[in-house]
Amino acid sequence: MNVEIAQYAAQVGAALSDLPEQARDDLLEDLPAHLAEVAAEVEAEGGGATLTERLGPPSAYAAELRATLGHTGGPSRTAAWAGRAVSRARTRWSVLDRRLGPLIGYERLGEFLALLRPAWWVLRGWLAAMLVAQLWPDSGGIGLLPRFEGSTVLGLLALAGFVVGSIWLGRRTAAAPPARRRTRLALGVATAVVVVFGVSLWVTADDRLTGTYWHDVTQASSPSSPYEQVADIFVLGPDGQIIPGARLVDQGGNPIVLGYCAQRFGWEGPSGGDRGWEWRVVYPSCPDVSAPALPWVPASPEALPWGTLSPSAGPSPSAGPSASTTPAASPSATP
Amino acid sequence: MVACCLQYFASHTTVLSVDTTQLLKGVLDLAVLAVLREDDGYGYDILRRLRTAGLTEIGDASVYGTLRRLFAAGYLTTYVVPSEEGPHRKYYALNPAGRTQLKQGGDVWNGFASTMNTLLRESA
Repeated sequence: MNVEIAQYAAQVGAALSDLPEQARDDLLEDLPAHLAEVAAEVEAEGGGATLTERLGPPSAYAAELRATLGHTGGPSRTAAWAGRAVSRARTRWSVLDRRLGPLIGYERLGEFLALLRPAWWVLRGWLAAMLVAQLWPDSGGIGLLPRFEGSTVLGLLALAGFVVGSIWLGRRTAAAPPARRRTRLALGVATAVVVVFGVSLWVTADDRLTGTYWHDVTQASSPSSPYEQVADIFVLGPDGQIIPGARLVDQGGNPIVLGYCAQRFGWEGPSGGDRGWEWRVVYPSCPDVSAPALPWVPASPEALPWGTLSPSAGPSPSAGPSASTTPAASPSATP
Repeated sequence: MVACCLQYFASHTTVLSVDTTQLLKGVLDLAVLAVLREDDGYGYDILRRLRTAGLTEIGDASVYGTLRRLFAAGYLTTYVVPSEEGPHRKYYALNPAGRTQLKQGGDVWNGFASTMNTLLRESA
């Protein structure tokens, strides 16, 4: 068969011998491979036995080929430029390929990279599982295993599924790239998303492992947190006097825990970190910080320009529990 | 691309029967680009698509030659896909330049075709 194809191609070439060499070579370069492809197809369809029966005599084939010459003008300048750029990049890669390969004991770098493909498939499966786990509603913080609904078992099952799927996909696309343009495009986009996610995951993990993650959090919050230096809080009443045993709540009725001593109360206090310990924090909360001298406190503060909120009924500071007594009842969370 | 046909009609004033093969010569490039618009294809597959679409007189050499030329002109990219049985298949795909060419060629063709349709309606 191959001999027959070579003969047929040679006869076609001979019939085109009057063409300029360059044009002829361009035309014939791929002909044997193409003829082999066509011969196989025609044979599969139950066509003729010889190439001549399938495709007609070489002279007729050559005449038809000749007729296709010269319909298109030259490529547009951008197309020609893009084509040259691609071939330059290919040449450069092939030089790099052969030069870097021997450094790691391979003829070509591409050979080594091809060996890494299954490893990439596994990595891709893991990354895809991590990505889906992150996008899952109710996803927690990011770790090294995917978790669904907080379940590691579900996560491991999903991980196994994704890895097997990725390997299957890898073997399939390695054997035959999808012919559909859209499928290839979708695969490329998905790969890009997974790679970007992988890089960000890697950076996050690296930050956490080196401790810079927490450092960054503190750093990031410090410019917006003027309370970093606060050790204790002294609440002054309208009369300018310190209210002992005061408690602070925010606009949502949640207790505010400010200062080193108040936070330490959380794990060292009498309730030892029970739920609702924040409600037990009273200010001033440090036993060993003496009240500041307050010569500048005006006796009656002026109203803020936008008006002050009228305090609703709540724990009254006038009851005056001492700093050492903890309030027995937790006030309702809704003011 | 269609200029050839205009010249053809202009210089062959005695042509009475217009056969598809002659017409096809001018628009074969466009036809091949068009069947590659949605999906890539290999040589024989492209031939089959063209024939299925109604261009039954197209020969394999025409398709092969056109593909080579469009590729050399920078409108197509190729890649080889191993086949389980038989020889490898060389797939052709449109690149951006090819899509631009298809768009431009299509516009020229549409203008030409509507002119011809108008002329033929008037002469009918």
